[in-house]
Amino acid sequence: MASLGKVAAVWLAALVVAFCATTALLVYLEVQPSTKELDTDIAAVRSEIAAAEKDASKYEGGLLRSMIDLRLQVLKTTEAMLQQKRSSYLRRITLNYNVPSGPITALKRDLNAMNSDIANAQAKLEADEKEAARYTGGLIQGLALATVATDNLTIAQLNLAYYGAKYGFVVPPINPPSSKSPGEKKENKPGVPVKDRDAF
Amino acid sequence: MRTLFCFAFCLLMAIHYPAHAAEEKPASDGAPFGLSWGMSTAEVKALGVELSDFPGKDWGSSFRATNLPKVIADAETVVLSFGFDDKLWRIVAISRPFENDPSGGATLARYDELNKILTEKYGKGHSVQRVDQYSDQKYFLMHIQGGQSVWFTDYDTADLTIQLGIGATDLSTGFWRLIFTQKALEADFKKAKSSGEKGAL
Repeated sequence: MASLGKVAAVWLAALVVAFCATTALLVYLEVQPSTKELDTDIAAVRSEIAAAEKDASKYEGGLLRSMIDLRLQVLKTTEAMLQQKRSSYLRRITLNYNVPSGPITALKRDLNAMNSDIANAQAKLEADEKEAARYTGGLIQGLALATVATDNLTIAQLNLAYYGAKYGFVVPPINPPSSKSPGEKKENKPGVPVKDRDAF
Repeated sequence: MRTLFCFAFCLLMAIHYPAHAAEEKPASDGAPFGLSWGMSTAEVKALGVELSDFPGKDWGSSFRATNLPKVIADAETVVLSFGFDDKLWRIVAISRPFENDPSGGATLARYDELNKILTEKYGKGHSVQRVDQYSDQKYFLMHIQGGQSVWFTDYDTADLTIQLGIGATDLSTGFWRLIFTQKALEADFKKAKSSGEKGAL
């Protein structure tokens, strides 16, 4: 009788442990976006990169080309961060970023709000593209195309912010930081710091 | 009586003019950061300032300056431009990055502090604050970076133009930028640049 009680107790303990582990795993899976979702997002960004590269090929230089180049930089940064996140999922490691800030975690309502902003930006882009298509050249079309380029850049930036919030990665600077080491930087201070009023 | 009147008049002038002169803004040979307008590179170096190469010759001979006699505490980069005749006519100061600041709160707060001091010293400036139609504050630096929004103030005195502005290196990193130009020396620079370009054609 006593041994039966012991066996029952062991089975009960095992069931409790299994239940807790399963719950923890389900919570983990629910909180973290899945690899499939990440792959979908990466594919979407790659498609945007291809479209931006096609746009870039239309211009040799000038304002439109430089705006498209900036948009490409933003998109490539987004792709790089998503790929890094995907690698961390596959290897089951937690990424540590060497920046003086913590990861950004967004509430679902924040993501929904950002999605809404992206949708609005997309609607504006479509309207501005239609407007630009009405002209065949000249200054007016140039201005209309500049507006379209601005809209595309806005969407790329909003997507980078959205993916950063969704996957909890810190958005790195789009322009590469100075290659100088912190030690070097310290020695190259501009001068003797004084109160603001006294500096002028 | 006449003598007394003349004496009183002279006494009045002697008191009035020095007081009036004291109210006028001092002559601004004095540039910011302990420098003087029109200094040569040799004279700047003689102060102990180190000048290193700076890419870009849009403003003539330009250098990144370190070891200045005095500088704003959070300035990270100072660029001095000497034009084509080795005379200091333009000074640019850029702040350290304000990181993790997508809404621009910290950057704007610092901008406001500097704006107040510049207004006290140089008079009220003309502000341009244009934000993108997506004026949600959380995208402020994003739109500054992309050019959809602009935020700066111009100050104008008899011999200086000054601009304080906000820039962004990415979606959440802002910085302030101060540009001083000495008007007379700027005019000389533009003349020299124009005649140089004409000569090249």
